[in-house]
Amino acid sequence: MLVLTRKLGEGLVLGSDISLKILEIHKNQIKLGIEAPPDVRIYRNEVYEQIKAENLQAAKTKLDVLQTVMGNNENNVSKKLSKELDKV
Amino acid sequence: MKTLSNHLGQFEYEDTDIIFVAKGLLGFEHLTEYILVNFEETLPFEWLISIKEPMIAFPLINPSAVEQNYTIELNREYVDEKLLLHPESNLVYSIVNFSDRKPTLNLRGPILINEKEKVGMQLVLNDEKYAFRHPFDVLQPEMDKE
Repeated sequence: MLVLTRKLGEGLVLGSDISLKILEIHKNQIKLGIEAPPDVRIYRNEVYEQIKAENLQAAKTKLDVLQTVMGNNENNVSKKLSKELDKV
Repeated sequence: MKTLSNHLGQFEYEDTDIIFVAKGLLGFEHLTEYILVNFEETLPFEWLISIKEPMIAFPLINPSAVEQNYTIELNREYVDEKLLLHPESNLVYSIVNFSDRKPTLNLRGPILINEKEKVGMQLVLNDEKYAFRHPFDVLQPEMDKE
């Protein structure tokens, strides 16, 4: 990781069309100003990581999991029924 | 007519059915072409299936059924301009995650699909009142209710 030290009011230029500026420093918070072309998407990293994790899990959804949740998986229902019968 | 098959079944589609997600979904930036399908066994859920990797299929649901006051503001600066051409044909979906005991909706990262323009994108909302995992109940058929 490249590490650079900057002071209040100073900034960075990334490539030819993205610039960052330190606007405010307050204890353990800094305020950053970002200028970038509209097609560059900027996310808070914890939000980005969380949505990515959600997407990864959802993408692997199996049909049977969903059917179990919906309660219309026939195997599931018959298993339940046979369990009930065992009790009797 | 083309066909695609995966763990959910076999689906037929035309090129004109393809939904282009130019930037991909977060974590799936390499997958930009999808079809949106639904079939009786899994209604009210629909599926966004990748054409290139059909095993990648996202279960979706219209979040308004769960969260009535769910609104998203489109920021002209970062929304695909085709989504703004016919805003009346924009559909809002939430991705459903079934890995918890109760299914959850990701209200923070909705999927917007424009039926007319056949484009889609995943938005990232900054509004913290919307959860990444918003639990909800799926309507159970009668026999399970006792």
